[in-house]
Amino acid sequence: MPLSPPPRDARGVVVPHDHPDILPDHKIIRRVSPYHIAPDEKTPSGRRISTAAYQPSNGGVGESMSVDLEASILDAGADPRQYVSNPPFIGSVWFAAAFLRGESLMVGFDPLSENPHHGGVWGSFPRSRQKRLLQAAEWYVQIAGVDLK
Amino acid sequence: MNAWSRSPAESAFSGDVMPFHGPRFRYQVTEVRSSWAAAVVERLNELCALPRGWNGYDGLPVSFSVAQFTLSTLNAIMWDDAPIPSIIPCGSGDLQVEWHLISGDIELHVMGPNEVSAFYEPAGDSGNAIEMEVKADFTAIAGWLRELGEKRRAIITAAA
Repeated sequence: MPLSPPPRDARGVVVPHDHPDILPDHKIIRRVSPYHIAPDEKTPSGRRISTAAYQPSNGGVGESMSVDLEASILDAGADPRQYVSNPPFIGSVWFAAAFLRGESLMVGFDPLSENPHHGGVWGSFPRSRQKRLLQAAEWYVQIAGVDLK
Repeated sequence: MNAWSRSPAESAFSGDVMPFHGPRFRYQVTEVRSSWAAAVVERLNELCALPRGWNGYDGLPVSFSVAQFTLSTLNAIMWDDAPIPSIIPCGSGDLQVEWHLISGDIELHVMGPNEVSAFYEPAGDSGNAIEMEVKADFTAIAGWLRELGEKRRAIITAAA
């Protein structure tokens, strides 16, 4: 069933919210840019995803960490792994919605004209939380030769 | 000393100037001397020239002031053959400087000049991790880097 429309302000901008139709076990996908791969001498591959990948996408006031909502993609009949793997993204990770909410983050629906399955994760992203996100992330589309953590 | 320069007409700095005539005006770093500096300067120039939306989510290129401050900071805390850090762009013109060495990790989130969040964790010793805000005194960061650099050298020597 499609997600209900998100709450918007007077300008039509989606406001930070926790969407009730995004269920605890829904997979929340975060795409990974090649710029967010960092060398790490301690990992088997020598490279891993930087904590910089786990923070608001453009840093503006009230900005969210952009994500894709797997349930919404599946509901539209699309292949989510293919959907989230278009350039410049070379891979992606996922979190359960319940985990993000357990980190006091809000998981909402923020559809864009170019991405109707776009969601937002609102809240603060201090280093300690970024580190927990790094530890909790699971591959959705694995990047060859790169470790998760 | 490294100098980050811009065109004479707009420069707040005197001395070396090297405007970059790309698709749009860009700043460039000049006078590279330390052995690590060439790679760092090249990376900073690359990140300042990122197009808007580089991360697919409307991300901004790294700002000139952040890049300039980062270079000055690294110049102050690194020695000539110090481990070269990774420089990772964030989405709002900020960046992270990261050392992920076999001896431990240091991350500096440079949000603006004199606005840095620093993190230190010795390898296998998360109980002694340190997270702190730094404004102007980077003495502690220099100490972390020297400590990890010395431990790294010892580990590599022992393994050889």
